[in-house]
Amino acid sequence: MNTTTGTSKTASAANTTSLASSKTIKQIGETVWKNRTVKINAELFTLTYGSIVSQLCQDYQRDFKKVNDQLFSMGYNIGIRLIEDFLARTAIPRCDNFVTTSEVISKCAFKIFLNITPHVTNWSNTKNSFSLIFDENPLSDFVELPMDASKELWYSNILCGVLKGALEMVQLDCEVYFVSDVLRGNTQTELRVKLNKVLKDEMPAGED
Amino acid sequence: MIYSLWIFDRHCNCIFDKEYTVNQSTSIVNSKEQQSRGKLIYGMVHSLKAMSTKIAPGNTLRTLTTGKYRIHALFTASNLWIVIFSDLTHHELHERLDKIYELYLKYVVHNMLKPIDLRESENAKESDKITSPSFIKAVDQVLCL
Repeated sequence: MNTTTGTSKTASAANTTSLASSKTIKQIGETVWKNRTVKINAELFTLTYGSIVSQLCQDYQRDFKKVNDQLFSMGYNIGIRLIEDFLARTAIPRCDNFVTTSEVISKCAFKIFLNITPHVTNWSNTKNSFSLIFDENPLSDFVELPMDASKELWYSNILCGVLKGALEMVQLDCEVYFVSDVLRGNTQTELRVKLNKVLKDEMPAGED
Repeated sequence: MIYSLWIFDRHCNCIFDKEYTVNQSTSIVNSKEQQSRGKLIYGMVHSLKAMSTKIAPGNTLRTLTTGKYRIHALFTASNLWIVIFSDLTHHELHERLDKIYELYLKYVVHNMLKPIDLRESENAKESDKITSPSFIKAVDQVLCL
């Protein structure tokens, strides 16, 4: 009996063996965006999202806390599926540390799905939480929050849910939330990702 | 020839299996009789995988050859396993493993009305498996080239 092993999972992923270098991560993001991503009309996308949010505001009688929660939970359901899409396209293996994870999220995931690259910044001393700063946000183009929503609604809260769901599927239990949003009059849009713990892979149940 | 295909989810459960050995037109899908065999295969691959990572960190199991058959395996970061048993004439099936992952994406993940986590959904049963006919058909096309 003999086994052959290798560090890369697939032939197409031969370039992902050393994820340590952020240049490689950026290249993967750009290549996949260029060659393996079907593009749709940005306005259609923005307006579709806008109509979902506006419908939710109506359904919950402008209880914006509930709208935030609902957007988060919709995002979560997207995230747990989207991660498979992401892995199939990039063939990226598990990250060794949370710094690499942040690079992959910003340069690869956001690049592939939204064609934006939010800045990673504000690291905590323990390197287990960071912020993503969005210079542009395709979800909120054309949007101005009405007065009653501008204190409570996190318009793009679906993104938090997506990240939460996707990270959980690769065993990273995180808290994801918006800290500020230009729509609310803040100077920048900041999303915080905080690692609670790395979950253990499940083990097969012992034979009885 | 290809002997069989196995897919395991992150909860260590076999969510799809297909035998090609009997005869290709009457191949067996998600067979009850194979449940214990599925567990044995999971255990074997799990041990070898753990072993190869222990010896060289960051290392992954890719193929395993015995006197009579060969195993090709794909492990994703989300802990989905795709395992193919074949005879010794197949040396490199990783392209087909990637294709099967893409089919899983297309017919299971992107099928928004079906649960993605077959065990966590309401009324989940021990025996819940991927039953999508289009998935099975597409898999056959990939494996029986």
